[in-house]
Amino acid sequence: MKSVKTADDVVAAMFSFFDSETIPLDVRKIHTAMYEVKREFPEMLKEFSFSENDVYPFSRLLERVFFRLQNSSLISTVNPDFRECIVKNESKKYIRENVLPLFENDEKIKLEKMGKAFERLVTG
Amino acid sequence: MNERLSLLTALKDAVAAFTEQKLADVKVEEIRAPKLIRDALTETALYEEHEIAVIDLPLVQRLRRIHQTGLAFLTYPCTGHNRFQHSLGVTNIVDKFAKSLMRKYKKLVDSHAVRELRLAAILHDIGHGPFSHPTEEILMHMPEIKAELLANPKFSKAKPHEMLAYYMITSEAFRKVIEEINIHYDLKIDIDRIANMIVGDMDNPQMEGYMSDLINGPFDADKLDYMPRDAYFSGLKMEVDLERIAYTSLIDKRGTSFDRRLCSDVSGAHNLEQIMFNKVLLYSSMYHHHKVRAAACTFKSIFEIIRDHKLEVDGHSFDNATDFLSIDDYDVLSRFEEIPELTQIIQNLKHRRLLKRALVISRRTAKDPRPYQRLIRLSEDPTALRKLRDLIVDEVVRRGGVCSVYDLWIDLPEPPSLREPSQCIVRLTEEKHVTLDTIFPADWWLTAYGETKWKGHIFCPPDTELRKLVNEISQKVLKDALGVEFEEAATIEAKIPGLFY
Repeated sequence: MKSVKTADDVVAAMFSFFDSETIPLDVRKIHTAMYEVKREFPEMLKEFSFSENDVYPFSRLLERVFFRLQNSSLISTVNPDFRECIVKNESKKYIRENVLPLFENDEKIKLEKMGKAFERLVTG
Repeated sequence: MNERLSLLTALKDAVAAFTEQKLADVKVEEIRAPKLIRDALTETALYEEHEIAVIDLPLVQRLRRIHQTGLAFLTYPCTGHNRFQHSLGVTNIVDKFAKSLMRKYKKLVDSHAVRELRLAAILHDIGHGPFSHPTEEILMHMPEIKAELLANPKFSKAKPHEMLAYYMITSEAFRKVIEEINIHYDLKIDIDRIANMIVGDMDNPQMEGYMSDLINGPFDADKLDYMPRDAYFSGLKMEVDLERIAYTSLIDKRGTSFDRRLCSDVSGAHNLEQIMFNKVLLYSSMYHHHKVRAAACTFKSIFEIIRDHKLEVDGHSFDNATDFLSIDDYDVLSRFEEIPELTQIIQNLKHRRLLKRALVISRRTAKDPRPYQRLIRLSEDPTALRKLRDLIVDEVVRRGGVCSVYDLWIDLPEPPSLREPSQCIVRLTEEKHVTLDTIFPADWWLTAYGETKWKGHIFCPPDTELRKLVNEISQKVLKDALGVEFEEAATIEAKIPGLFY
């Protein structure tokens, strides 16, 4: 069956370009950072809608994507305090081999920029 | 872009035309006096004359014929409660909260604000389709709905039924009715403000933020009614301390970005935590119960059959959102049965001949979680899931099984949103405010829910031999198509007689 790109694939692909293996698991920071990244790369994140009048911009789709990425161990957290979101190098490798090929070359360049910008915003 | 624009205009116009048709013969009745309406859960409450006039509108009366918890009554027999009862419950609760706030903020919250809040509560669910949430699952994938939710910032946190309610309420026909009510009862109801509250938007947050929060916010009256109501009628034991939550509710007025938003004193935080606990319990026990999900899948099949066979029911083809506003649960269970292609599936629902589990899809039952990601990511893509269903059914039929694609579902239900604590403002001191998640990190719960509770399923007809065949074939198809493999637990948890069980 020919694979189609989904919102999950876009986020996973971004995460594969993180320099570090961990980012803070902070809902506010994650949604705000993705909101900022969307402003710069709207066409890549067009499916994500963010609430405009909340305490911070929130995307229900991003919440679901995060749930699925965690549920499938592409990103993980460590008990007991779940303070960090971990994208292990083996997960990055899996994403590069299985998810990135879904994208065109120009999209991959954008995804790398998006991933780096997201990481900077979340950890900054 | 033009295509998107035309989709947006088409939806707004279609909802307006629908509303005009439904209100064509409506005259604002002379209501002699306020009326007492009894509710089993909240309280016996007084409704003003103009509220009775609104409640009497056919668009609101239709809610009597829409179950609050979809097809859960096939599993939890007492959940026969409906959206009409819930809407009155929300009205009673929002009244309690608004009056509690009125005592604290006399200059800000007046009787006019309470009146508009109550009307928003009465009207907040008029955009629901038959059986509520199963229809919502269809609507959210319709191009015109998706386009609208993405394009219009007003709907940035609205669900499809809230957006439809917004367009119904702001239509010319509805405005005329409200104008008549305003004149007749000497009121100044602002219908745009009411519509904004329903979609959680606000034109003037410095004045009205708390009003939208009470109708569509982190801990709104909607949640505070549906949780105890769904729990009460299902028989699940849970408590919501409404009195205490109302008592500890505040309006932030510090002149910051949270200005005039609803917030809670820190002394009420544990009551809000209790709500989140209840929400997770309701999802795992009822909303995601495998039988409830199986019935929802059968419901969605009805509209796949209509679409695939190009059928019409009373002139509706259900390829657009407004067609779902034209019908209610009674229509589905009666009128639809008269259509030969739908008779069997409607009778299956009526006689509770539900689909059964052939395979359980979860983090625990997948061999390697990473290929499993390739499957669960398709939950946003019903077209891709339909292709997989077709592949499975083709093979089942080739092997001699009797099964149609409408009886075979890959169900990957939407996880609960636990956004509320990260959006709820808690006052620690007069000067110090935080969001609830800094006190109570509910996002951990979502992680834990995913690891331990969330399950998807492959459902098929109840014949044991067919379930065994679907179990085997679906595992092969999912492995070939996506590389996902399953542990024995995926079969054991499906409880198919003769297969580990």
